[in-house]
Amino acid sequence: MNNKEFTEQLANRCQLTTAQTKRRIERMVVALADALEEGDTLNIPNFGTFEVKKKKERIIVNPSTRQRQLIPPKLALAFKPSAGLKEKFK
Amino acid sequence: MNQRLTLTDIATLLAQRENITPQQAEEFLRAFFQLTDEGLERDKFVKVTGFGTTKIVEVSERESVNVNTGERIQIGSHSKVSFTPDNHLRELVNRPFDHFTTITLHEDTSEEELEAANEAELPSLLATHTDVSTASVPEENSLPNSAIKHSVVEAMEVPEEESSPVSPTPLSPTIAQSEATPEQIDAPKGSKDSALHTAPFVSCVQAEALVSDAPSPITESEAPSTEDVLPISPSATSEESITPTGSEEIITPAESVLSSDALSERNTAPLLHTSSSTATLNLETDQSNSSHITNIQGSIVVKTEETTPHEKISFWKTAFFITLALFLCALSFLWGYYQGVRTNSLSLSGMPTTAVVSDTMLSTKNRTTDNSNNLAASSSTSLNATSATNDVNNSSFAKPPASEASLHQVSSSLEKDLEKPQKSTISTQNAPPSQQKVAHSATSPKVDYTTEARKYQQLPRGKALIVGTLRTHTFRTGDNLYRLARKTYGSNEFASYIILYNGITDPDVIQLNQAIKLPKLIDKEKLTPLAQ
Repeated sequence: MNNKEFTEQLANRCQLTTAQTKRRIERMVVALADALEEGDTLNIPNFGTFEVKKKKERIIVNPSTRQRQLIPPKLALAFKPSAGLKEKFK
Repeated sequence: MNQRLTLTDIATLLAQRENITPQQAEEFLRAFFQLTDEGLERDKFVKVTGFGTTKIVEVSERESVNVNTGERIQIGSHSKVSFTPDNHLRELVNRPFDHFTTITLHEDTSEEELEAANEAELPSLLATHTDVSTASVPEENSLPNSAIKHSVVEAMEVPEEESSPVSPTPLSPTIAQSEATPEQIDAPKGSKDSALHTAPFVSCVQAEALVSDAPSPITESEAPSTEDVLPISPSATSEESITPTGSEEIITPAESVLSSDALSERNTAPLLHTSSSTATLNLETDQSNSSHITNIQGSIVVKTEETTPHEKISFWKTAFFITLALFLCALSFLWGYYQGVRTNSLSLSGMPTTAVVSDTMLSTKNRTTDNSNNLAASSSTSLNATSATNDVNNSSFAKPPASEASLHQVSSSLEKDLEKPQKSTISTQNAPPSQQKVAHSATSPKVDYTTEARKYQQLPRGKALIVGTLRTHTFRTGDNLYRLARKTYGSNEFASYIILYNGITDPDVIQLNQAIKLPKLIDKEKLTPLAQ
């Protein structure tokens, strides 16, 4: 299911226009990011948990050029599916 | 902080942003995730722009070990739900760490490592002093310096190792020769001009050479008297080997000291501006040393011809120790001063030293033009001259290629003009190699940009100049200044220029659809536009 199909179906369900749905999805993402930035975990029932995890900085070596690069630390979004969802798609 | 948020919490957040009721927002969110679930069931993947891709991935069969029993168990192939956040969401989440960038770690040394290497260079020079001294031609710029150090060490060793005079003696003649060579080249070719140019240093070096010479005959002449058992042949040969070089030296320094005494006073006069105490001390010690040394030399020449009385030796020994102590004081003082000035010149881009150099350069202005001919004519003498001046200007650690480069620049530029090259020589002698290029390339286009740059408020210590507006960017959701800076100029650090240029008081709060003027940035050193 690509983005277009998803937006259309979501618009149908919520009785909104696709443009409105698009906008709302965008806002939702920003709201999610804001909440997650605080270090909170987001628990969505019957779906899963979104959590921000800190990845430490590391040094990588390019195998072909032997060039060493320092990758900075970063915050990555991790998703953990709920038990129900896990079982469903097993 | 560190709360477990539920769908309702997000719904309230969304409701605030969208001006809808929390119920509506929650309904929307529920529908969103419900639809994702259904989409997964149908297509095994759901892609939502701005959010991410949720899909079902196959996990192949693998073997594992039961943690509790240690039994090997087979985990069958299955599928699982995976979520890959969209770039947009990923950047939003990584916002606190957005200013970090990937750094390429180079093999070649960084600034601090160079600094450490400079400090480590001193002992290494001391360690390799025999190799350096045996190389009769001064290929290395730092040779006089190492020779000085060597002579100091040599001199320090002498009182301790009086019982074994054979070990220092083979070294000292070579030092004398190696030190004599630059001066001998200087003396005939450079004549008065080069002598004037390098007068303070040359006289210094000569004095040191004389001092380093002085101990060896004393110890040698002492050796036969104290230790009668010692075979005469090594000491005799060493004496013979010394006496020619010594006599040569006596002639050359005598001339140059006499001729350069007045000149050295003139030349060291500018130095007095910055360090009156050290300079005067240096001058005093120089003169006192030279007077002492000439006496010593004369007596030594006499001594080598006739057998020396015991009392005279002890007298000269004490005299020598006094001069040695004085010299060590002066040297350590100078060394400390040079180190201090060097660090100062590094931090303040060599302002005090340039003043000194310009003084000396102006005072010897006419003579340097003559010197330039010598520079162009004989590379060895000019190398000596530049190396000597380099040492005077505290950049004693400049590497040979750099000095050669500066030499070429000096010779070429001196032919063209008189006023400009002096600036260039100052810059080349004071600045490290990387800055030399800058100073030379920065002459013509700098004028245009600096006038332009004056119109705008600049970052005091930034590496770029604001010279105008590049374009205007309308701030959108998910934008941030770091990302904007990275995408426009290639690095996060230029965000501060955007903040300054737009007069943003709180960089953390930027309104949606706010127009951000992106400044046109010019690299301060290369003077090339930074925007991509």
